[in-house]
Amino acid sequence: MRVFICGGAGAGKSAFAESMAQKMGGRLVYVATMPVVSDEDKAKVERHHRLRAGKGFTTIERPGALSDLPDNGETMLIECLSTHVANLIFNPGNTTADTTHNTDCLHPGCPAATTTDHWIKALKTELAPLLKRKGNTIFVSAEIASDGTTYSPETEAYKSVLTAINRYLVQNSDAAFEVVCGIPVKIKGELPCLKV
Amino acid sequence: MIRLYIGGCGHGQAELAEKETGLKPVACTPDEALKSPAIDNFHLITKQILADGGSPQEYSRKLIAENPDSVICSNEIGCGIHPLAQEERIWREETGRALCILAEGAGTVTRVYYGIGQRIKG
Repeated sequence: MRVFICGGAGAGKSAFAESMAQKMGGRLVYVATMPVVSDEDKAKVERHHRLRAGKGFTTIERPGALSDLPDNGETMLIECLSTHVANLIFNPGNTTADTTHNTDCLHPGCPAATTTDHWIKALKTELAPLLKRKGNTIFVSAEIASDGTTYSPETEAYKSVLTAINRYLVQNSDAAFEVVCGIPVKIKGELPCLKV
Repeated sequence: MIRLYIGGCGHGQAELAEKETGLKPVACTPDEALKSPAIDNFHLITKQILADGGSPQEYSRKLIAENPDSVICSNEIGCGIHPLAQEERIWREETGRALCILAEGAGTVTRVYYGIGQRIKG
């Protein structure tokens, strides 16, 4: 089962995703994409650790590429795609260098990495295996493009890439939810483990 | 019971709330909101609370306890790009969490999309 969860800041996405993973059962793995750079990041990560405490998750820190993740039937929660995409586009030092520079290269130094199309294609290639995992996979992303503001070209590119990836994940997931004020609003699919 | 109306900027939360409840939401200070039958712009109340050094999440619990039959309207402010300014980031996170608490305690939650209400709770 593949599930996509999205929502605004502070909307309760994490709590809903963690609860869903617990209901799905099996060995629980939490993949954290957020790099810890500032005190604010540290406080945020510590808050997430507190919220997950006692829920049975094994945490894997992945502030870079999402390759080589376990595929042995675990229920995996990946949080957050918005941070993952930002890591790749804005923080070159945080990703695993792929010196082959092929067309799916996620290395920010790659000469091909100059267009949103490149990032979208490379990210889809990276995420495709996660959509075929043996166990459940829950993708958490963020709603970042509904404020009506036009930003710098770099930030607009980020918005284009993340929204394209969100669409890709929604299309390829069995169920999708938007979390609004802590309330999960079903966009598509049915989950036997949930009564929402 | 609390009736919560949320939506993006300009989506008509207050107008729909007045139409459905007969109460006209008005802009309030944090103290006024504890006694007001219909509160507009809750997201600006959380901003004021933060400016005064308070906790929007604690305030939400107080509002539920002291004004349990109020109509509350708020903008959703967490659906844009991560703000550069720290105070803006804290404001939108804290407002989101304060709204989660209000929604949990509310009898109904209505999300408003350009005047059309979608009841997501109650």
